[in-house]
Amino acid sequence: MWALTDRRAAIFAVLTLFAAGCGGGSSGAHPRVPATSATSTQSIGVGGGTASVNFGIYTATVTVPAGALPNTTTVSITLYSTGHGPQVLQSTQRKTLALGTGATELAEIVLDTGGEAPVLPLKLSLIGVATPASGISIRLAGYGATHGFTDVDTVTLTANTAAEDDSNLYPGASAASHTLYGFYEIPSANVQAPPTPVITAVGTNPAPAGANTQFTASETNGNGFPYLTGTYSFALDTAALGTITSGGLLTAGTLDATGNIIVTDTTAGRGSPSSSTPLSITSARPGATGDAFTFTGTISATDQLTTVTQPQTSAGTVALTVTPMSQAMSGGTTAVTTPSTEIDTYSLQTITTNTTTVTNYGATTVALASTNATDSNQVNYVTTYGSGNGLLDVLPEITGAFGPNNAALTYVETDPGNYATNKTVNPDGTYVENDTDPFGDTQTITLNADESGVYNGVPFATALFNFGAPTGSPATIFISAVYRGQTETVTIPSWMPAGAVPSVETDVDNGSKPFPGGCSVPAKYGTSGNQIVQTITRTDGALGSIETETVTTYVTPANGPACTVMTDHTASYYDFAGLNLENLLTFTQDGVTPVETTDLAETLTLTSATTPVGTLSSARQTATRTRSSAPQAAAGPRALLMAPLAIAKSRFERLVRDHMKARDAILQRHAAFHGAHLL
Amino acid sequence: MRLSVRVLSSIAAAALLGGCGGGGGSHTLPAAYAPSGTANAPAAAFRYGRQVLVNATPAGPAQLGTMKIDVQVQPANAMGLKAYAQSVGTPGSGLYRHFLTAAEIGQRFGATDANYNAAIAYFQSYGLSVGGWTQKLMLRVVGPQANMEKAFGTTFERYITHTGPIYGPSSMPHFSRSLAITSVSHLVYGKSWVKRNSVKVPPHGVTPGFEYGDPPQPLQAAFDYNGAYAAGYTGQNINIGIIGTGPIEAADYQNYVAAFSTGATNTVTQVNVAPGTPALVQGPGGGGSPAATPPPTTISTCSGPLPSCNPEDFEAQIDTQQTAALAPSASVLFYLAYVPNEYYGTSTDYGPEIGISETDDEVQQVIQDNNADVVSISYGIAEEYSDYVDNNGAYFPMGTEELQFAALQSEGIAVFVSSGDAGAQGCARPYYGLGPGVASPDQPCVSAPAIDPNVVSVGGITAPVDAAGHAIAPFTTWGVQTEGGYGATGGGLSTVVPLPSWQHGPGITGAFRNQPDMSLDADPVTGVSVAFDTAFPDGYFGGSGGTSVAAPEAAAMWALVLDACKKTAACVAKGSGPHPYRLGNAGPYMYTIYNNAAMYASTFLDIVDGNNGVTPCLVNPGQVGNCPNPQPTVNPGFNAGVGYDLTTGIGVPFARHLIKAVVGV
Repeated sequence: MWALTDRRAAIFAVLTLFAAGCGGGSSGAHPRVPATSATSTQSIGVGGGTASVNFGIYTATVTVPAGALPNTTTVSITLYSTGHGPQVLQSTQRKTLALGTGATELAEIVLDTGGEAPVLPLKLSLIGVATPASGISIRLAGYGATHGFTDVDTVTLTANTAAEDDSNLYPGASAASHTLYGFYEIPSANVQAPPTPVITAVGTNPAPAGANTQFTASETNGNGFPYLTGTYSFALDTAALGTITSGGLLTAGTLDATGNIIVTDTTAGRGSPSSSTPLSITSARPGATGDAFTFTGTISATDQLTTVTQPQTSAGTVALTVTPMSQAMSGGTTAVTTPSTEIDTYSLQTITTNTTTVTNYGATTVALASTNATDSNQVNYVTTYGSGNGLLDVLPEITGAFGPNNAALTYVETDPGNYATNKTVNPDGTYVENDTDPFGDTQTITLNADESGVYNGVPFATALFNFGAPTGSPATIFISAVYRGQTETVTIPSWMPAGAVPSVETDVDNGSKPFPGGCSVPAKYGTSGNQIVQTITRTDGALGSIETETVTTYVTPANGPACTVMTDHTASYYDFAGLNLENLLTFTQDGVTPVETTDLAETLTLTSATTPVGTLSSARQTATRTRSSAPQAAAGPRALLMAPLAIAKSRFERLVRDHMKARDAILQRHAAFHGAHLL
Repeated sequence: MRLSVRVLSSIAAAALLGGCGGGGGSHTLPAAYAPSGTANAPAAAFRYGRQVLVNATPAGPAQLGTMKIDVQVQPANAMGLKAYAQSVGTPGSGLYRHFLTAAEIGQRFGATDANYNAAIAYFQSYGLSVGGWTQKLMLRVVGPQANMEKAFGTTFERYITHTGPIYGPSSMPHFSRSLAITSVSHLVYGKSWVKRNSVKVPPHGVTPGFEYGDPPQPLQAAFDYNGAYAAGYTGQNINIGIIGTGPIEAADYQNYVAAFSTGATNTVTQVNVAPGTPALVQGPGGGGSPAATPPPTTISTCSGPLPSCNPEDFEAQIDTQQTAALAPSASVLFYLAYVPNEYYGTSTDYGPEIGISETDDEVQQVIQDNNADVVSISYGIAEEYSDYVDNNGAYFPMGTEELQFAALQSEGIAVFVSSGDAGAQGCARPYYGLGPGVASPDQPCVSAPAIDPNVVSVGGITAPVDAAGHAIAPFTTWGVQTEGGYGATGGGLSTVVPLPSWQHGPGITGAFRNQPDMSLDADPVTGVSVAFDTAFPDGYFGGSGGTSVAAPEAAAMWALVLDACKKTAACVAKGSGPHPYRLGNAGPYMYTIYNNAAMYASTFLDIVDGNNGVTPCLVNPGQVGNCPNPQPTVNPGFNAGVGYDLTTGIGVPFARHLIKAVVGV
C-alpha cells in the first residue's frame, strides 16, 4: 500500500524531468513551463450531449444523458496529467487514501456543470488507455469532499476506452461538478470493495418529544459520486424514539431518548445500502436526566414589631444547584423528579436545604406537584399541591393572563423536638391546621371562607380564640378569648380590605422583558426572558395577616428561568407570641397599623446550565419559545427546563409559611402570659 | 394579676460571702461593734460583711443549728494569683495559656502551710469540722452554732432588713489568738440575697406538654450550634462543670432526651463536694464526712428538714439539661456540696437548702479536681453584699470569689455567669434593699459574681423562634418589651470591680466592670423547656427563662469551641499544662472579635432594641416573697444600641462562626 500523495509526488517528478528535456534546446531562454492540463467546454441542454478534451495521450469525455441537466449550461471538462489536479481541490478535499497495493494513476479529470445540478447520472470515460497486463484492472476514483478517494467505481475497457460502468453497486451514481476524479490501474487482486454509501436522514434533530417530524434522506457526505435518484425507507432502532413511517414521518416519543434512524436505499438493483443517523428525542418537560443548573442570588428577611423595634434584617447569599434526576410518564403527563441543594449563607450562619421537587409536565402546562425538603437543622417540609394549584407556566407562552391557580395544598412540617404541623388548604384558601407537640397534644387553627376563624390552643395553653367575620360599616371584627376559664371579648376595627378572601392569585405572561438589575445573568444566556408574574394575596382572619407574594420569572428559550425575583410582604395584625407585654393576644387597635411586618426577598440568577443530551439547548430554543398566536390548546408541548423555578418558588413559599406559621409558634410552647392580659 | 401566673423562684442562702441590706438608716450597729481593728477584743482584721449590718435592726438571738462558714486563710500571694490569671489569658504574654494545676496554685499563691494549719487547728480546737482543698484558698468550717460563736468570740443575732431577715454577729467577731485569716463568709447572711437567675413558668397542672418551653433543637438551629455539630464539634471529651444550686434527679435528663428525641448520649454526673486537702476532720458537732453524699431527692412538694425532705432544684435542672443538650457529646459534671446536718435552727429564715449555700465549696472542688473545662454559674448576689466588697463597702480586691475565679482562669477553665434577672436594678429584685450602695430601689446595680474579671457575664435576650428555629421577630433585649418591667436581663456598671483590661471597645464606659459581656436566650416568653421532678408523680416539663438559661447555653457553646481547639493541633500547640486545649476565660476572645469589625459582624448578632428597666417594687421591712407591690411605672433601664450596650453586651454569638473566629477552623 502506498499513499496517494506520495505517489503523486513521484509522478510529478517524472513529468518535470520530461518537460525539462523538451525545452532543453533554448539556451539562455526561460525554461518553458510544460502544460499539465487541457480544458474543453460545451454547451449542453436538456437534450443531453457530451464534452471531450484531449491532453497528452488521453481524451476524456463526459456524457450527459437527456434530462440530466434541467437547463442549458456550459459544461467544462479538464484533463490533467497525474498529480496536477486542482490544488484547491487537493488542499481542501483530498485526504491521504490507500487505493491498494500497486495502484497507478492514469489521468485526473474535473467537471464543471456551470452551476446546474444534474438530476441524472453523468458518466466519464477516458480514451487512449492501453490494455493492461493480465491481472490488472482499470478503475475510477472520486476525490470526495470529505473522504478522499472513497468512492471507487469499476470501469469497462473497450477499444482503449475506459468507461465508467453503471452496473455495479452504484447505479444512478453520477460524476459531479467540482470533483476531482482519477482513472487508475491496479492489480485485480488488490481491488478493494467499494465503501458503503453514507446516507443521512435529515430533519429536526433532536426532535421534540411527542411531535411529528418529517425526515428525508440524502447522501450528504460529499463523496465523489453523489447518488441522485435513490428511494429511501426509514426505520428506528430504539423503541423509545417513537415511531417512523417508511416515508420518514417521525412521531417522537414522550421522554428523552437517543438512538438512530436507519435509512435504507431501496432502489432496485442498488443492493439496499443503509446508514444510521443518530436521533435524539427531547421530552417537553423541565429537564432531562443529567441536566444540571446552578444559580446564585441573594436572600433577605426583615422583621419589625411595628411600635417597638427597629427593622431587623438578615441578609445572605444563595447558591442553588439543580440536577434533574428522573422522569416517568403517567396519563400523558411527564413527572420529573428533581433533586436540588440550596446553600443559604448569611453573615452568621449557613443553612443547607436538600429538596426533591416533582414537576408535572402536561401537554400544555408545567405545574409543581410536590416538594420534600430537609434542611441542615433537620427540619422536614413536605408540600403537596392540590388539583388546580402549582401551575408554573402555560405553553406555548402567550402574552396575557393565564391560570390562575387555586390554593389547594397540604403542608406537613416535622420539626426536631417532635413537633409537627399538618395543614390542609382548600382551593379557596380556607384551611385547617393541626399542630402536634412532643406529647401528642394537638391544637387546631381553622380559617373559614368569610374570614372568620378559630384558634383552638386549649390542648397547648388552654387558650381559645374565636374571630368573627368582618361585619358592618365600617367593618369590625368580634373577638372572644377564653383562657383558663376566663372569657374576654372585644370588637376591633377590621384590618382587612372589604371583600377580602383567604386566597387570590393572578398570573400573567408579560412577554419578553430585559432582566432586572438584580440579576446578573451571564451574557451567554441572553439579556432578556419571557416575564411571568405570579401574585398571590392571602388574607388570614384566624392568624391575622395579609400577605402578598410575588414571583417574577424571566424564562429564556434554551435554559428556562434565568432570573427569578421573589418578594413577600406580610402584615400581621395579631400577636399570639407574647412579644408585646406578654399579652396572650395583642391586636391592632386602629385597623390599620399592623403589629408586625415581615418582608422576604430572594433573587436567583442562572449561572450555568448543562444539558448533555445532544444539542438540547438549541433544539429547545427552537421548539420551546416559538411564540404563536394559535390557541394554546392547539399547540404542542413547548416549555422546558422549568424545574429551577419550581424549586425556587417552592422553597420560597416554605419560608413564607414558616413566617406565617410562626405567628402561633410560641403559643405552642410558652404561654408565659399573665392572666389579666388576655387581650 | 400577673403574680397569679408568674412566680419568680424562691431563694435561699448562698456561699457567696455577703452583707446585709441595712434598715434604711433608722438603726445602728450594736454597741459591741466598732470599726474593724478597734474592737474591744482582738480586732477582726478580716472581711466578714460588716457593712451590711450598718442599718440592720436587731431582732433577738438567731437559732441557726449547724452552721457552715467559708474561711479564707491569707494567701501567700493573692495579687500574684490575679496577675497570673491576667497573663495566662493575654495573647503575647509569656505566660499565655501556660495553665497551672491546683497544686501549683496552692504552692505558688495559696496560704502557707503554717498559716493554713494554724487556722485548721484553731477551729478544730473549738470542736468544729474543718476541711480544705489543694489550692489552699479556702477552708470549710462546719459545726454547731454554739461552737461557732465561741470560735468567733461573739453570738449570732437575727436582724431585720429590707432584704428580709438575716443573721449576723451581735458583736465584732474575733479570734482568741492571732490567725492569718483575711475573709470569712456566712458570718452575715441573708437567705434572700443569692438569687437563682431563673424564671420558672409554673406548670399550672401536671399535664405533660403544658407550657413547656423550647426543646433544645430550635436553639441549636437559631444560634447555629447545628453548624458546629455538622463540622464535628459537639463537645466531645470536654467536661462542663455546673456549680450546683440544689439537687437534681438523674431521670430528668433522661426523660428530657427521650421527650424531645435529642439523640444525645452524654451523661450528667453528680460530683459530691468532699474537701480533701486536708481531709475534712469531723468535729463533735458534725459537719459532714469527706465523701458527704446528699440524700435521695424527694418530690418537690416535700417540705421539712434534710435529709428526709430533699426536693429537686429547678435551677439545677436548667443548668444541667441546657448544657448537656446543647453540647451533646460533652460530659456534664454537676458539683453539689452537702452538709448533712446543715439546718439553720427552727426558723425558715435560713434553711435548709442544699447547694445554693455551698457554692464556694463547689468552686473550690472544681479548682482542685481540675476536670471541668468550662463552668456555668446561674446565681448571683448584689455586688454590695458580695465578698467583692470590704467591711466598709469599698472594693475588696482579694475576696474569696475573686481569687477562686483567678484560680480557675489560671487552670484555663472558662466560666460563664448569669448577669441576673432584675434588669438594671439587678442587685435588688425581687427583694429591694436600701443598704450600703443601694440608696433607693431604683438605683442601678449589678450582680456578683458576674462582675468578676475572670468570668464572662451572660445576659439575656428575647429570642422568638419557631419550632424550626427560624426567627419570627427581631431578637431584642429581654426586658420591657415583653415583660413591661417585670423582669429583665441584668446589666449595668459595677461600682467596685475595676474594668478588666480585656473589656474594651466602642460602648464600654467608665473605669468599672461593664455588664453583661454577651447574651443568649433568656426571656421566659421565649424560654426553654425543663424536665422537672419527672421521677415523681408531680413531674412535668415546664417553661423557664432567665439568664440562668443563657449562662449554660453559653457554656455549652464554649464547650464546642474547646472541642474544636482540642481537635486542632495548631490550637493545642499554643497551650501548655495538663489541658493545653483550654483557652481560659472566654471574655478576652470575645472582645477581640468585637474589636474586629468584620469578624464581629460574622460572629455576633448585635442586639439593638430593648431596655432592661424594671418596675419599682415596694417592700415592707421584713417582708419575704416576690415583689408584692409592683409599681406601674418602669424604672429607667439601659437601652440596647449599636455595639456594646449595658443590656446585652456585645450581642449574641453564633456557635459555628464563634469557633471559626476563636480557633480558626
